[in-house]
Amino acid sequence: MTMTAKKTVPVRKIIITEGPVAKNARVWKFGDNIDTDAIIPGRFLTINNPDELAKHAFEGTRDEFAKKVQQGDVIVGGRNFGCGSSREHAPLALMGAGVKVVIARSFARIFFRNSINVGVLPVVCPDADKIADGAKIGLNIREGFLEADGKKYAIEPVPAFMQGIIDAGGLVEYAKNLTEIPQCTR
Amino acid sequence: MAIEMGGKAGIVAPDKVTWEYMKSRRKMKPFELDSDKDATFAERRTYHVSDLEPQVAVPHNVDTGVPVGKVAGTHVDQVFIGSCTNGRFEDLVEAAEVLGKQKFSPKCRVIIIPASRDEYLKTLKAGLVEKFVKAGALVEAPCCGPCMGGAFGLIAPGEISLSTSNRNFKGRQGSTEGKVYLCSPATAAASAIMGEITDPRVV
Repeated sequence: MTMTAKKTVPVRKIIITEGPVAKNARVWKFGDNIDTDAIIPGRFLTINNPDELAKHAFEGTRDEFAKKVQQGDVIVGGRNFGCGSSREHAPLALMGAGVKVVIARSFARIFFRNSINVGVLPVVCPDADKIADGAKIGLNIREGFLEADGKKYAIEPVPAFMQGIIDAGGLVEYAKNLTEIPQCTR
Repeated sequence: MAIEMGGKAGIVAPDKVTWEYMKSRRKMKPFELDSDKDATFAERRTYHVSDLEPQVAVPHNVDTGVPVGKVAGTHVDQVFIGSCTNGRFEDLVEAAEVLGKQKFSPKCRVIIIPASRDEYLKTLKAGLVEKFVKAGALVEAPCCGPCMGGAFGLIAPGEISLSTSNRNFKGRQGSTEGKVYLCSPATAAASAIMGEITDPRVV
């Protein structure tokens, strides 16, 4: 099975892949088991526009989020982030809010995949609990660490193909640029 | 519920009953869908559930299951029997069997919603809609109902819902200041009779 990208389309290249921490982003800290109903309540699932969804992100859970979130801010969660209903609206709402990276101690699998598919990078950081709400944060994917309020924490490596999907702006854009269709040969 | 256990998907080899269902719905003929004879598995786990006490998931997570005895006596404002998870005809028959000739408690709202039009028709033909309504329940048109906070029974701040649906996250069924417990149709029916969480084996 081969999977080759024709070209990388950096339309929404969002991750700092080299150099030290290049930009200061604010951390929005959440706890364990943040479910997709908390990220975007079920009643808003008729909306598909990320900007519109963003207006309701964390509504009822953390109302200040949608009002105050800034482009480039980072969400940090605890264990099992994104559990519950499978809904791509959850990462879409975060993307609409300008969040390009979600860091957590661990992720629920479906949210993890949905995030990559829409172009939001989920990053596993075993020390995520040590990062404070409001911390200034930067990421260094290439060297595998993040820096929050001046302290360095290791992050799990982001595989190249995953980074490729993120760089392309999500799975659909990535697939458009495949020269060969991956086939399951059995 | 494989997803709630952290899985990406849950795959169950179809048995005779499944193939009969597929035949009736899609005229589909059975074909080989079992695991390969030489398939290897990362891990095998076996669970014996014959002696398992009825379980209730307490707020606000699905994996907080406790034996019903631990939360028995908890007052409920609303009991919802339905959803894709537990709104089939068989589920409603289970609830009806627990109900017997009793009435639902006036202390709580009892909302029963068959999962689909077919299930609704089966329930109707079996006379269960009349039985439930006469016992004091509301039987609504087939839909998701309050499961996802959509309609027919959103809970108010401070209210407690006992639900046969599959998720109990904060705010899932209405107010974020409400609480949702999850249980089986039998436990839900028994609790709706008593107006508090009740072991279905004692009603």
